[in-house]
Amino acid sequence: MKNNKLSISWDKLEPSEQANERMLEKILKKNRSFNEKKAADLSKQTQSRKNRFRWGLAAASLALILFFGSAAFAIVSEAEEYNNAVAFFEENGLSTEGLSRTEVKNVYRDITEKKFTYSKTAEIISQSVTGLEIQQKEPTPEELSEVWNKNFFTNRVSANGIDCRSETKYVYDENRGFEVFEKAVFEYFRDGELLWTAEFTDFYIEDYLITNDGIAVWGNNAILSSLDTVTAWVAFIDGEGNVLWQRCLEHGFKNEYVASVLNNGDGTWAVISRGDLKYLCLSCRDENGNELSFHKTEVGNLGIWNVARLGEGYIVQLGNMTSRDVALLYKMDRKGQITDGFSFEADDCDYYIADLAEFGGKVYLSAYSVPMQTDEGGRHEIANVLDYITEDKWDISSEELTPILRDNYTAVLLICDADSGIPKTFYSVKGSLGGKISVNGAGELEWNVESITSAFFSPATSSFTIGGSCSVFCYTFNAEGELIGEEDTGYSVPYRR
Amino acid sequence: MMSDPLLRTDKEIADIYMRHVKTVYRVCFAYMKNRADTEDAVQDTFFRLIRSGPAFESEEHEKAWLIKTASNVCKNVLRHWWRRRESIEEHYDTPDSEEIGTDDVLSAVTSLPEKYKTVVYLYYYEGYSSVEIADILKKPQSTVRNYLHEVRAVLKERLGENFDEEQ
Repeated sequence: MKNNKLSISWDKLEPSEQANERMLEKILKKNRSFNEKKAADLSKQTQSRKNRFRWGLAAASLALILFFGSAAFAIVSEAEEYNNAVAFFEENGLSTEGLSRTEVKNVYRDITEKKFTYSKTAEIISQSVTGLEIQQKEPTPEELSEVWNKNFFTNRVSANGIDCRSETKYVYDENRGFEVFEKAVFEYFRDGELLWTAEFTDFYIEDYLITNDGIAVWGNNAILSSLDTVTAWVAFIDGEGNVLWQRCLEHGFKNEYVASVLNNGDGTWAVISRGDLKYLCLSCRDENGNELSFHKTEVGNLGIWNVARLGEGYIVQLGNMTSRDVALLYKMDRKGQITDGFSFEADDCDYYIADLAEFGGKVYLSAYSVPMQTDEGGRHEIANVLDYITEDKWDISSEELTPILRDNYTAVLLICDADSGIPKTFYSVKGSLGGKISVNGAGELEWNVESITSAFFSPATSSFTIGGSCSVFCYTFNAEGELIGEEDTGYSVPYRR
Repeated sequence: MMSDPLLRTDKEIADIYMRHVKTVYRVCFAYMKNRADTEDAVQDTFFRLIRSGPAFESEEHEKAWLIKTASNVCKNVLRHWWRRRESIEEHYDTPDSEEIGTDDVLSAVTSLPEKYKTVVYLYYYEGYSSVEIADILKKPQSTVRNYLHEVRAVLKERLGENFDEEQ
């Protein structure tokens, strides 16, 4: 939505009259030069045919124009593919340094078409997954595919070989002249093999939850204007990929999104949503998705960051980066009423909570701490690191940056007593970030810790400034809260800030 | 709309220029932050239009193409910024090399990390939705929404404004 203050400031920004004349003159000169060259090329081609076959002249000119047409189209298509390739590299933490334009596109095609036969692909992937060695000098496409699927397929570490992915499909709208939402496709993989897909035409998929009974997915309708109403949707898919039900949340909001869906364990589902950017909502639904109850609480400008079951109710983490409220926790009963609230903070560090899980009647919070940020703008987590680099270390190497970045982070496992509600540190790991936390089939708590293994400074990349990768370790705790296992999962996840 | 979508007359180029030069200029300035580099980037954007601009279905399509191209032009320039740092002295001898006076708001925006700039311009100035922005910039909608979420926090801190609310 437009912002008047920005608009007023930006309106003042325009080229002077002299600058306009100067720029337009150069641009038109370029245009004349381009057109003259094209005309000269066309003339040469047609001249060579003129004296040979008069009836063939028109065909030759047409062929030349068609050639220019296809060449120009090829130029446009090439530019678009290159831009898509660069965006793909950035989104997956891959570096384009040292690659030609053609090589970037070839690696992009090789990975997205799942061929893994291009010579540069192995080099790019191994550069981005430090610590994960590709054993042979020339890995087979199958080996490279496995490395890719294991480490870049999703930011989630696979559980029992299960991976899920969602993709949004677009279709060209003749009337509007651009592509519009067509459908969302949910894909279910086991050990890298696609087992089934499910499609949704009413909403794009925001997130999902895998349960023993099936998979809950949720998302929002696609809109074309900021004036449109944003509606939230929830759906349930069984283990075979059949969509059992899908429901639109009709709570009267202009803008509603689902933050989380939880299995209550009694055949009902808790759908936690945010309405109009100020209401925390709980909608309880039966096994067919029908709403059994709904409650909303006005909490103000706080996002819903994490939710977990806590006893008969829930614990909800709300947050607001602006006000630096990054560790606010609220207890909510089954009806959606807020019963208590507390926060976790310290004098010398900032905490970021990554995930919550209930275990043994208590709530465990997977988090990480960074030194208390004094920086007044932007990169809160890495402000200190960026200050060091911008002092006079613009060409900092990965070898120097990696330990500095590791020093910035400490993964922390907090335990939150259900009665007192006060979180306290239970376990910590230096050089790491807290990741997903869950209870496994054996009734043990598994805490994923992302240990920073490599980092690089990339000031010109649009989607991150410091990139790198983390090796995922899994710490296992028994019902008594004792650490019983520590394992390198073999997975890596990208680090990007 | 065009007599030949690939070879445009001077009038056609001039018409497109006059329709969109302010938009292109503002997008480029968000990246380049000075008049001289901004003008270079604007020219390069229109050079690309001459060399490889497609046939446009509408003025909206034309504008979206120019915005996306301008962003890419600026990012390409900044990718080679090591070289530009070494030759920065050139700018001191060129006319109009002084900085354009900017207020706090514009300073806050131009000092944002690169990835946010075009999104901020399109959302808060042009009034596009996040869906439309994702389409223009060929980015996932979730990425655009994340950018907007992050930039609101930054702008709020720098300017003391709540950018969640309509103003």
